Amino acid sequence: MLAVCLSWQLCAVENKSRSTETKLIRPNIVLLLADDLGFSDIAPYGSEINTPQLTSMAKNGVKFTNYHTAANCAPARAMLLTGVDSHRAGVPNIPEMIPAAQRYANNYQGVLSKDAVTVASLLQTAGYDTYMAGKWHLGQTSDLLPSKRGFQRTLALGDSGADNWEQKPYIPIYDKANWYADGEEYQLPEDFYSSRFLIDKTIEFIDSNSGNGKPFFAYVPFQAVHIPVQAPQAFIDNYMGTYDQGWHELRQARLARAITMGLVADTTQVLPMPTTDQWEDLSDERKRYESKRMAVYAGMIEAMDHHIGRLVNHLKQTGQYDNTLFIFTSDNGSEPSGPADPDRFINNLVMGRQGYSTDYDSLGLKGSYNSISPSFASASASPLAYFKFYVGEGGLRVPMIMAGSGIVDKGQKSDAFIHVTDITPTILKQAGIEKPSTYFGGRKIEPISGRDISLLLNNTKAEVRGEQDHDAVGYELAGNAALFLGDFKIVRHVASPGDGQWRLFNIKKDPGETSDLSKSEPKRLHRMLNLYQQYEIDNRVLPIPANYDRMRQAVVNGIQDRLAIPLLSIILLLFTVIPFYTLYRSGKNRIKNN
Amino acid sequence: MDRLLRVLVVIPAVIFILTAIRYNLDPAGTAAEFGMPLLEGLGRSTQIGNMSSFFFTAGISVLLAVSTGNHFWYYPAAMLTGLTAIFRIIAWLVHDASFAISQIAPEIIFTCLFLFAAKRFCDET
Repeated sequence: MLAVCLSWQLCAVENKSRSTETKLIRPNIVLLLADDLGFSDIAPYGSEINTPQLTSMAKNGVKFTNYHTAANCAPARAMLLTGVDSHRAGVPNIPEMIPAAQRYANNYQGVLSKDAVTVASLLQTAGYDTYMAGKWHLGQTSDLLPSKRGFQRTLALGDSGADNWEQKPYIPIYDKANWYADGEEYQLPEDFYSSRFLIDKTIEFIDSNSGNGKPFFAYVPFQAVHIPVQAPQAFIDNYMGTYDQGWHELRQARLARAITMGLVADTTQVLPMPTTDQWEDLSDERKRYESKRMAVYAGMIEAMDHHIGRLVNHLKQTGQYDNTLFIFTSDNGSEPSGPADPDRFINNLVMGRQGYSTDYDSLGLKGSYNSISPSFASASASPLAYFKFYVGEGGLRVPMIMAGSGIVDKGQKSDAFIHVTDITPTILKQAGIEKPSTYFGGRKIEPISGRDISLLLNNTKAEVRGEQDHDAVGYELAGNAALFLGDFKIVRHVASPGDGQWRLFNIKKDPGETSDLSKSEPKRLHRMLNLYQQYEIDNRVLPIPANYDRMRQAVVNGIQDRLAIPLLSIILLLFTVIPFYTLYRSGKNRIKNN
Repeated sequence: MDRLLRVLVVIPAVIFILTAIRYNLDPAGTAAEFGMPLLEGLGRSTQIGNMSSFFFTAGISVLLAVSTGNHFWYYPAAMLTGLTAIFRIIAWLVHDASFAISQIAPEIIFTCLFLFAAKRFCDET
């Protein structure tokens, strides 16, 4: 009896020490962020695009079907990295699109506020090595670059995007592509291709500290599949002909697969989008061109997946894979800014000035500018409505996979509503780090509003939010607004093709947002509208000026950014020089008169 | 000849004033042109304050010389550019700084130009 007791005690002590040991081993964390990737653009989410690495990741982890982010780039990145609402983090919109009428407010500067602490800062303080290679877009002055926001080693693109083959701006609002390495301006190598290079740098950073006993956090925000959509020829070739049937067929095919895979309810329908052209009306030549535009897009996604695979293999070879938590997601839904007809004179003129061609043969290769139009963007977000810049599900709902270390029930799918602000608190939980209190580094900070979703990873909880008022999640981008509560969402689009009206949808049953419930459930609508008003107050949301247009604003801001300093310099110079000239002339006249 | 000389001295003067203005409007971009990062705190204050006053003084001195006809105003500008070239060479010899020939050469040319103008307009007066 005594022997049994003793052996039981010993076992208990051993188990306890083993469990303490397990707790002490902190996971490496790899946060992979695609750019402008639509909901059904990768194979685990019903895509025809071949993404074996992401498929394997989904099998090795949890696939979230109801993950919501921001409707455009920088606000999503700010929330992802801090767990704080974009308006409180200083990035309610990208700086390129913030109108002058809003820029007086501290929280409308479009750069990551110093009052919002990044997950990298918190991990670094807790003993992690922290790396970043990719697009930053949260501030370009020396004090705002990632090297000053918690990342030890960085290779960062400061702009909203850039060419994937060379150091070249992709739109004329930039005079150059601003890349930085460890806070200093950086010249890209000759053999640059974005996805390959960013993974190369990530591997280099990881290896530079391997063996020091510290876990690492690697943030890899890809350029893929932001415009210009570019890919190596071999990857493009894999999709030549795949899209010959057009966007309507693709949207329906992806809807069918999403239903079959259980990603959306089987009652899901797609909303006809007024921005979608009739495929049948296109000439054969245009169909051929549009099909290749989408083939390049697919090739770029497959190339990204291929390079993710290189990172995964490297971690396997170096024995770090088993202790690594992978998170893959996108900053927002698919990008609809590509022109419907890229061959129009004005597009050729603008692209020509940037040194780009839009020729069919070289589409997607070095020197070529490619994009997808709103028509294929809707297929890319299928079965959801709208796309990037809009608060329809197609703009906000994107793939999100968590895989690897710390996940017990692998290969699961979660339909819980989760938000981009949940990623930071979840990473902290997985790393065994407490959420920061009111102060960090002697500075009062914005509190994290997101929730830890770790219990979803272990299948021990179905939801992290209920239907109480405090469970509501609001969002606003340039007047387009939404609020989520339980299975429901209210949504208002002020930008064309929206009409400024609030609508109510059950996004569990109707993720395509085809059936407006605002008339049949007025009480719910009223409650959610009140909650949205409170969200605006709590997060200091400013009204958008009348007649605001995001593209026009980007052009105006771009002109101001590029010309304001030279023009102001010349005006001040004239003010300085003119008195001396006057003095000189009056002296000459005096001599003449004498 | 005198008119040409006046134009020749006014060109660098205007560039100096423009540089001083740009140091205040776009300090990071202007500092980068001089091979410097934009410093923080007291360093930034010194960087913007000293560099702006240097270029502003050099430019205004030349404009004063030309507009008032008083040749003495050429000397502060000549001293600023000339001494900068000398101290750059010392920095290279003693402190392991780069031999900034692309800066030193124009500084010497401007110094000679300002001294020549001072001499020329002194003779005339």
